[in-house]
Amino acid sequence: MEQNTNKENKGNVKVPLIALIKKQRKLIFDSSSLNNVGFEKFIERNGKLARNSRGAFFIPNFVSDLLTEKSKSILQELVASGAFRTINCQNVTNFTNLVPLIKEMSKERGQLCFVSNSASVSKAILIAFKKESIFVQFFFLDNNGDLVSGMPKDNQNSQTTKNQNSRNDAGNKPNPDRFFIKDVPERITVRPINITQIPNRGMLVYNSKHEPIKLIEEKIYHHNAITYSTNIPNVWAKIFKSSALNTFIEAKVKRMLSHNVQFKGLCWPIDFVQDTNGQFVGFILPPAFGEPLQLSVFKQARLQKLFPNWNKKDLCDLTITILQTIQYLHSKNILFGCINPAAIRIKNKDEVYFIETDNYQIEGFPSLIYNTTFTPPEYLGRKIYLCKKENENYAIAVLVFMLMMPGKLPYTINPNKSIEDSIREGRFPFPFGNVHGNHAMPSVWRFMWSHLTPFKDVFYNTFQKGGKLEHPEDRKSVGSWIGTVKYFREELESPNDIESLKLYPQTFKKGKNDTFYTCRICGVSHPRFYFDNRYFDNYRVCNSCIDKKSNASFTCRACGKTYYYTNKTDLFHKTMKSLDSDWKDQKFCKDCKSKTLPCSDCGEEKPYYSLKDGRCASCNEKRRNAIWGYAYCKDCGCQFSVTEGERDFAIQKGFTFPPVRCKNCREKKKTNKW
Amino acid sequence: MAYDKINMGGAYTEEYFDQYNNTINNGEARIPICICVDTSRSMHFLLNPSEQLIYKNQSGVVDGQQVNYVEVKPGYKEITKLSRLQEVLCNMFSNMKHDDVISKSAVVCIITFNQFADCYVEFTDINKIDTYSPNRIQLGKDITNVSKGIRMSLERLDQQVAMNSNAGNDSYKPVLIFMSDGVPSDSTEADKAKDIVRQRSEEGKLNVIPISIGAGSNGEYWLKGLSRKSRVYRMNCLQDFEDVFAEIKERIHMTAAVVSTDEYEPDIDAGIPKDADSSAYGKARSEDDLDKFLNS
Repeated sequence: MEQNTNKENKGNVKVPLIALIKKQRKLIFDSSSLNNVGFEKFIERNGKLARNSRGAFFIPNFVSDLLTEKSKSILQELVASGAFRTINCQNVTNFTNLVPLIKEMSKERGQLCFVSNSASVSKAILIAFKKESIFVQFFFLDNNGDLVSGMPKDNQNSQTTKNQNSRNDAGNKPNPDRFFIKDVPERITVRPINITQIPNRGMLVYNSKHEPIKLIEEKIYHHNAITYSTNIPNVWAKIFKSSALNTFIEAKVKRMLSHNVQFKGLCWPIDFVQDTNGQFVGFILPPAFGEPLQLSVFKQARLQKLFPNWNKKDLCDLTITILQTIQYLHSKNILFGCINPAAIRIKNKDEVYFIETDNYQIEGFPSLIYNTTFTPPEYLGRKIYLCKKENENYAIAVLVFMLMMPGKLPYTINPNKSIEDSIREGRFPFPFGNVHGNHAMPSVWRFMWSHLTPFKDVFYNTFQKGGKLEHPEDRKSVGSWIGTVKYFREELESPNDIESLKLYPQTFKKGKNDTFYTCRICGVSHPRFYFDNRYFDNYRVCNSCIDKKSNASFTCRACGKTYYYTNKTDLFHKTMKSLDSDWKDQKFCKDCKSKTLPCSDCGEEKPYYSLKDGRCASCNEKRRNAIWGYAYCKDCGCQFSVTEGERDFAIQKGFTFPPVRCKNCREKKKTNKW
Repeated sequence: MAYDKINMGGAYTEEYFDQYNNTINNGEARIPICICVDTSRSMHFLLNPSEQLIYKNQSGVVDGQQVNYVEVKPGYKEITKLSRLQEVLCNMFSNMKHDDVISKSAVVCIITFNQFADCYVEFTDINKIDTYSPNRIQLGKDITNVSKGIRMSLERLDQQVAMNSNAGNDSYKPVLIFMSDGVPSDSTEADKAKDIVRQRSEEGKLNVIPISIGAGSNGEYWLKGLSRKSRVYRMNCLQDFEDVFAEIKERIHMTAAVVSTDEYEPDIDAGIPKDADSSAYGKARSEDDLDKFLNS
């Protein structure tokens, strides 16, 4: 059954609401947009924004009479909360008559936006506004609650749930222009195709018209196939290995060939190829160039080497190029099943190749590859599945995130859990709103994130557990992502902060009214939350520098290595030294402290440098005080004890041992001498 | 006076701070690799072919092993286990530095152990490491305190993973390359340390690559116990050294070539796939899985 409910007009672009609010646009809604099924989702997602941007949303009072009960109650709440303002117009019952009143609302060109899901209303308003020379932008709401630029087609007028269902029913009819999205697998018995010899370099294969094609040189290796260049210019041939040649792949390729799929950079099969016996061995396809995505953009070193002059704008262009190809695939109901970054090759920002298309999910033929990074959480752990667009929208969100933050994963991996469980846990690593406290991580990623303003809401709510866009049906579609990237790209044309243009910014995004403070160590300016509260007033050290090397150091007395304190430790020492006169400096390093040997007396493990004659300090002390024996004093005749310590001392100094006098007599003798 | 010494940072070597700066400035996902090398006296054993040796008809016990004393014939260079190891480590570092994919991903540390464990090279990005640093590794005492080497290695790996995670960088599974040429002197403690390593390996938190440098059957048996798959690389002759390290380097390359969440598990016995540089990524479904699915 066809699942696509996300029809979009070709050429229409989804526009993030924030973009319009920022540009101080005024949005006037009509009844058809409010009655649309997408309106509730639109408000669910943008309610907060609408309330915060008072004065951006308008509704003429006559519209409320045309609303359904549900829409009416939502609108009442919105008007009460101040999110929507009512245009009070007496004796006016349609928009055409409203024009003079609206004209007064804004004299600035392009400031007025009209949101209507009725093609006839939109057209009538356009004519009326044209007469008055008022420039107005038109939008409509799609079923997912996304704002789409342009005028709606007639069939987008007031799509109620009932209408939507009937559209789905209509989807069962065969459509020669695009595939179906199916949720049941093809009924195929997988049988191997036995080939005497798999064609390889220098051999001939034959297309469906039995024309020979010579395999020239290996171009791409895959675990189940090799792609060769051929004697035909701009034609390559993918030849499956014997282990992968079966009735499934043959049927899949032939199904792929049943529809006309052509898009720049999309290496879709052109024709199947056979061996000399007429057995299916593979297919021919357009050539591909460039570097795999995960080895070009996702790796900082490679990105800087391959595209040394790129900035964020170029990255946006690349993202748009990739997303437009995916949008085309989705328009044909072709899904990846699982995005393979190695099968997206980047030549430059406008030239991207999608290879291994036979691995895509085509109708009831699932994708046969699997990776963890791009698998939606609801499918993690499943070996094979047939996904829907809303599932794939997760993979697209991951892809956009990893392009905007080159190579970074949108989830925190919990070291105590498996990767799959960590993804399911949904811990998005970056803050949204004012949730950064004093724990902003010292990292290039944190800076990069701060510059992605238009994406923050969507990324956070897609990846964070409990986010508004967490559920598959709420996820952003590819069209919506294109809109957001285009808006961001436009913003970068005249950025508020030049740092936003850098691929790897050095500090946070600075807004017009933001106060930044300069770190006394690195000299870079950062916002207040990037400084530790304890040291802000006196020292002003940023989070990037707090754990860096300070000038304070000590040299280990055992190994002779010099160790430096972090700035944090140094500041702590400074504070403590001022409070505690007994503060002692460090003598030994951690490594030497951990080099232990057993004491030869007590057997306890002690640092090797603390052992003397194989004994620890306390055993040495005990030994020094232990009685070696007894002697009689030459002077007083008393018996006195001699300790091991005295014995060692006498031997060391070459004195007579055992001593001939007791301690008292020795003292007396010394005193008399003087 | 009692102080809360938790979370107050600490004292570290200059190399540590260099790496800290690298970590927060370059956000690439890292593969922490700790090379733990036995430097007991037995690593001084000669690897020269027998025709290059003069047998002195004397024997003795070194590092718990019965040995025959030999010397190298005039005109031949003395090749000991340690000198060969130093050579191949230098080569591996040099190759890794010139590999675009690895150069900013791999972070390497060298721990040596004999009576004590020493951190010879602190964790350093491979592109910043001194290629010839392994040449400074020196022989130690006639004791193989394996537990000390393992504990220090794990401690350094944990420290590196924490540093990476605090900087918001993604991490691959840490790799412990453990090389020894004999049985441990500290049998009980060594077994305890081995259990910790094996447990981590079984929980999928650590990739262990045990390497036996002519360790004999007892030594190999002990080393096998380190990894979940009970596999061990063997370096018995001169060529083995190069082959093993070339393969390790290739495995690190393959690991770094995927996103950290799609890291594959190296299988020592499987060998390196020849079509490593391809569009292959992630895991492929088997025909059986497909058949089950289609008929589900």
